[in-house]
Amino acid sequence: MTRALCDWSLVEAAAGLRQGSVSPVEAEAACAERRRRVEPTLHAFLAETPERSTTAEVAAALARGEGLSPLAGLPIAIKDNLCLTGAPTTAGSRILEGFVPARDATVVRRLTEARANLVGKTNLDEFGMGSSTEHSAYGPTRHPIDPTRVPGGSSGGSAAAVAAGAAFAALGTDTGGSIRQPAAFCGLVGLKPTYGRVSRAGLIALTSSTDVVGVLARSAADAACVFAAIAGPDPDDATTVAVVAAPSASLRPLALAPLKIGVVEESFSDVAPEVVGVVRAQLEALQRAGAQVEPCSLPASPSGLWVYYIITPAEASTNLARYDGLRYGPPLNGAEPTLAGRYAATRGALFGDEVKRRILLGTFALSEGYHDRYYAEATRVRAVLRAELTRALSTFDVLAMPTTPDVAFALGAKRDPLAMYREDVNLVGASLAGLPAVSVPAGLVQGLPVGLHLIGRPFEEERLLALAAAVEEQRGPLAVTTLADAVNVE
Amino acid sequence: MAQLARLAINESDIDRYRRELSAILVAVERLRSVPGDSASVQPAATVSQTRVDQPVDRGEANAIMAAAPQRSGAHIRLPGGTLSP
Repeated sequence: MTRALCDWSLVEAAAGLRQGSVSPVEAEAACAERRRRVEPTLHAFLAETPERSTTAEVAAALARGEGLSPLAGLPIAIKDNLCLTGAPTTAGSRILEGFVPARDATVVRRLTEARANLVGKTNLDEFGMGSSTEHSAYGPTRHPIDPTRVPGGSSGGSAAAVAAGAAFAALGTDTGGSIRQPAAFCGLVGLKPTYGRVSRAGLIALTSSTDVVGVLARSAADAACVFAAIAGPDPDDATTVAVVAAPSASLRPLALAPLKIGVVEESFSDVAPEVVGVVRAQLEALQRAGAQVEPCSLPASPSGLWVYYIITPAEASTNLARYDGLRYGPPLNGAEPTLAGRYAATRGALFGDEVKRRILLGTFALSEGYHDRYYAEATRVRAVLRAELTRALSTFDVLAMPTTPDVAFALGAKRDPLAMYREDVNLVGASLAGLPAVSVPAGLVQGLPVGLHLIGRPFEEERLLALAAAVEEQRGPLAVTTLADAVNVE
Repeated sequence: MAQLARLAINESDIDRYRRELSAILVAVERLRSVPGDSASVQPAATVSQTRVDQPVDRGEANAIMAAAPQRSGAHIRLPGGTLSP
């Protein structure tokens, strides 16, 4: 069966545009048709943005023979916690219903400058709080291979859209695994850059000390193209770093011979045996290809989860204090006589359950009498974790582990918050330490993708993506049957 | 706590939140058993780059003035008076 244009990799489609074998209009139409067919099942998008189509200007530029970015004219989706002028930006929350930003986020502006075709805003767990996209106020997104399952989260809409062929790549955000976990569930490459490598100006803040904007794509080479377009210092974000050379959009698989990979042994406890088998097999394949693969211990790493679930709620409770129904959010027509009462009524009615849980937890952790016991203690262990990771990365070039404890789970299967939080156990360490990390598909378990999680040294995203490309080369194509295959057969 | 967080919580949800938050806090207590002193550890991988603290004209005032429905010279005209940029 011939592959539909919307299932090509971004690099293939860009080459097709340059060579004239496909046009920007055809690329847009292929993704739009796929979106029309799968969206009623997936619910990956919260808004379409046809006004951001670049097909006409890219077609004209191609006709003039202009050199173009590899993203030019290709459909890219944007997670709905990133501001895009003129389109509703909800962050998956009812409290932001009706909010239309006046400015583009810096990453959106950079994609626009690369003439990418921004096709829509994708669904997410409310404010990025969740690992399944079930916590969106606008309904859950479903898995593109098995719609009875979740696509992961919080960037689940972005992951489902790319995996289903509704966009060639998507922007996501990662606070404690929100790009890497849905990438693993949906068979994609998910890149969480180093904290400070990509601007967060125009990102709706969740946890300011770990929030990062990154990429979900069908291959490491595709991710490199998008990353090259969005990375770099930004005067609107003081946390961005100017001392790093701009990344390259072209990527070659990494030569494995001199590479030292540390396999974090603690990361395999509580992981499904089939997932362990796929990840170990992939690491053995890398070893056979020349990499030096050795066990490595990070004793404090299992505690990272509990550090994260104090630090994140604490910062979120502060960042979300601005949502009170006055500047943001529809005011409620209640009978509350006081301003404080009005705030509480609005926030109580319009925030979802998980958001309220984390605000309560964060407020408690920061409150007088408990600050030292919880927040200060979490901050201490965060530094211990960071020191441990830094030491390990002075011995090894890259650290490896399973991305998730299991494959994508069924909708509604994790109602206990602690069970949902454990999804992130191997992911929060890189977030807390500000390190770059990537999830790359390692294989399948019962037709569902399994991710290999790789952590690198600060600002070594290109090396991580080149290693991910080497994994892709070792692994070969993933033989998945997606919802898109089913609708193509109809 | 809900009052401090400015959240109205339904009476019927209070017990559930109490149970869930208690379970999380019990898990968090394990952090005390993690040895290590953080005094010598840099808190983050990168350091924020702050610009020189000087006013910069980024053209925003002009953009705001251009978006105002009614103007009076360098002022935005409001129903009850004017507001300087």
